Amino acid sequence: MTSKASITATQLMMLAVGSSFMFPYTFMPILNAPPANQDVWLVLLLSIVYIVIMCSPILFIANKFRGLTVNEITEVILGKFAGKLASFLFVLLFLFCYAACLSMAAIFVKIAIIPETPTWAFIAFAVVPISYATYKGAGTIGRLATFIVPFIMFTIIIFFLMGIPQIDLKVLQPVFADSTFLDINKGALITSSRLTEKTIFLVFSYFLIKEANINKTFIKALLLYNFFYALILLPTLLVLGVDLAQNAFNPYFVYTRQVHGYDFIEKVQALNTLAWFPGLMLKLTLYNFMGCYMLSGIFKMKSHKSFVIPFSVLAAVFCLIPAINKADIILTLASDQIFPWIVFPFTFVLPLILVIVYLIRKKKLDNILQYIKQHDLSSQCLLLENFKNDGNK
Amino acid sequence: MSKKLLVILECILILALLTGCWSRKEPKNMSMVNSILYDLSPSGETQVMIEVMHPTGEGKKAGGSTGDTGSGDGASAPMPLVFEGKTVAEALRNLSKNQDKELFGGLNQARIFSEKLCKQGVGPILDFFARDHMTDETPLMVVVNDDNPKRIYTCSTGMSDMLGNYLSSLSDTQQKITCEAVFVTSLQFFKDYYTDGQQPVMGLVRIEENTESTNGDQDQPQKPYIIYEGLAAFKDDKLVGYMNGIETRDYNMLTNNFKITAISVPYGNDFIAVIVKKANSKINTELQNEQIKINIKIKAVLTIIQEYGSIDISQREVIKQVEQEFNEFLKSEIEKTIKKAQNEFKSDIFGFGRFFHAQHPKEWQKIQENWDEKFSKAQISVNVESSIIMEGEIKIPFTMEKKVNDK
Repeated sequence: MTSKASITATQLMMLAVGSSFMFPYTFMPILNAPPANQDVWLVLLLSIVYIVIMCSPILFIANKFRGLTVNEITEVILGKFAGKLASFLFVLLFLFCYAACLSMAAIFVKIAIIPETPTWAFIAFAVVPISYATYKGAGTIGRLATFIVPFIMFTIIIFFLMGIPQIDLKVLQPVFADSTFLDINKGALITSSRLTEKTIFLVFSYFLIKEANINKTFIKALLLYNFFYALILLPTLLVLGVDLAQNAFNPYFVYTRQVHGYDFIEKVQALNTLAWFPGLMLKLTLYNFMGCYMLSGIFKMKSHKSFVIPFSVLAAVFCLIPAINKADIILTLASDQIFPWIVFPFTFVLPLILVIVYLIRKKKLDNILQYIKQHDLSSQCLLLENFKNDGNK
Repeated sequence: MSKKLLVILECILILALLTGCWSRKEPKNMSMVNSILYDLSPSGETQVMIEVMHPTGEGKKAGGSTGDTGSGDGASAPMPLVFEGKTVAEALRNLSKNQDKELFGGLNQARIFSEKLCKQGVGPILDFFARDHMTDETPLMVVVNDDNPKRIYTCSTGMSDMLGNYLSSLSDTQQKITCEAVFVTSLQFFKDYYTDGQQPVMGLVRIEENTESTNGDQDQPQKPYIIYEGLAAFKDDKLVGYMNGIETRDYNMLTNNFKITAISVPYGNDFIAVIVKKANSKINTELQNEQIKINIKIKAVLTIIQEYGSIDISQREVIKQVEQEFNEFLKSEIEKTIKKAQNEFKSDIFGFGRFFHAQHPKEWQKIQENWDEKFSKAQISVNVESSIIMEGEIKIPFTMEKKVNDK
């Protein structure tokens, strides 16, 4: 396995928040989630509850098996074969997310920014830095997040403040009248299902320094994410209006195009792109890393590095398939009917199965965990073999 | 050593990326659009006429080549030829048959529409604006109320060098002085078009012939000039009528877009001129036996700026009377304006539907589809409350002071 890098709680928080920003920043799916009207901000508020619920299995496992890699956790809980299968399912999720997000980014770039640039060129220039950062490992990705994410946050705050004079609060009226509680819950469920960043806590908790508390980091990340999501959503909604925002391919980009101040600050949407691109790189790097890292665990490789380029090539090939490289296909893929329901089984159901199996085999697994703690072991090979040997004795 | 070589090679490769991307646009290869006129040809095709910036100011020197139809002040150099196409996109591409540089719409200040086109519907053109990545939502949307809308490019543009800049400057200055026009950006038009219970409006331009000679040279034909006043009312994407300056002032008050204006209020046989410094409207809607009732309450803050001398406005009772006169005057004006929208346009340009939606969300679901019809039959009640906060820098009217002194 890869030699263990360490990341701080702040780095983990920045990773999760920065990666989560990219969906609202790119195409803001919450606008079209039920009830798809002026009450979407209520959906955002309620989604906090759903995210906590959906993340609880992952957090439970991450806390319980702290110090083990995600591959080790799955194999300890489910056994060797089922554990590898579960790990492989996670790999498929990361590959899908990597390819899907790369496709969405390519389509956005082609529609709104540089339409004459061929998709392959964009993908090639994106995949190289992504692969390089992935190659460098978790520590580098964590440090990268502490540079990129504050800059994204800074642009969000600036765009929010500069958009205030154009805000029309009447857009939010009537509040909770055109939608039912069920609609809001449906929207919150879909919005939180879409969040693949829950898995970051599962994979990266292994790299987290001992002093850091996973739950606290998660709560801070969740609040920060929702706060900044609100700073993205509200001005977009209040300046563009519900219908125009819903109809725009990239509502936040359209909003930033309206921002102007005094007589000289105008056409500042370039700042949006300037923050969006590294943010996207970070998100894709995370998927690439998590996929490669888990693959290396499945195949008992010393390092994830040998999987980095094949993983990127696979994703790039997927994006370049002519049948997929179309705006309507990508929109369907990213829609509420497809994307959340692909992600949901991997980010909630699979971890929930792990929790249930753990609870069934609690006694045995607790013994293993105690053994690990006593012997300060972290490698699965050592863990299982030593435990078996000790058991035989 | 080999590692160093690799780093150097990497740096050289990275430098190659600094030259730019495939989609780069060099300013020297672009024509910066300042305003575009959209019209319909007699055969029903879309016509576009474009005003582009001439970076060298050649338009001024050459005059004849591009300045014939231009404002003639120099840098303004609208295209001498009008291009047509079945769609705007096609017409704009046809322009390249004459134009040696690529058009760049990112700095466009105004989208001007002919009456003919607006009556047919601007929806397909709006779709182009919203879809194309080089167009944005900041330009003003204006209708030219003239038989020959292309004449707008022959009009005087005041102190500005180009028509687009002129209209943009007007939007900055005019609103600080009077509220008898609307300056609607493309974004605002899109929003109103999309929003249920609100119909969009555009700015309105009239072209007036200049018959008076200012330089004493009678032989020199004077350029026509632009009057930017009133508004063009739409129902969905079609033009349904115009409002004059006074009606537009009321529109601005009702939609809370009011900044400042001066109103001459009849008082006895004379007038009292007041500056309306603030006017906020509060709209309350009711539904009684299928009949919609719209109650409008306007609160205005006034300052007296001119008085004819027949009354002593330094007295509180007189001030009260002036306020009363103003209230009645504005109330009747606003009622007339709303009636016009109800009876002539049958289009809720004031956005009362949005208030009804907010105040009666359940009922709104039932009547949303035919709101404009309901609006045209709605009962309107206007109540104006004004308060005069200042009477200017003198206490007793100027002429009255003289009479007092004479005695």
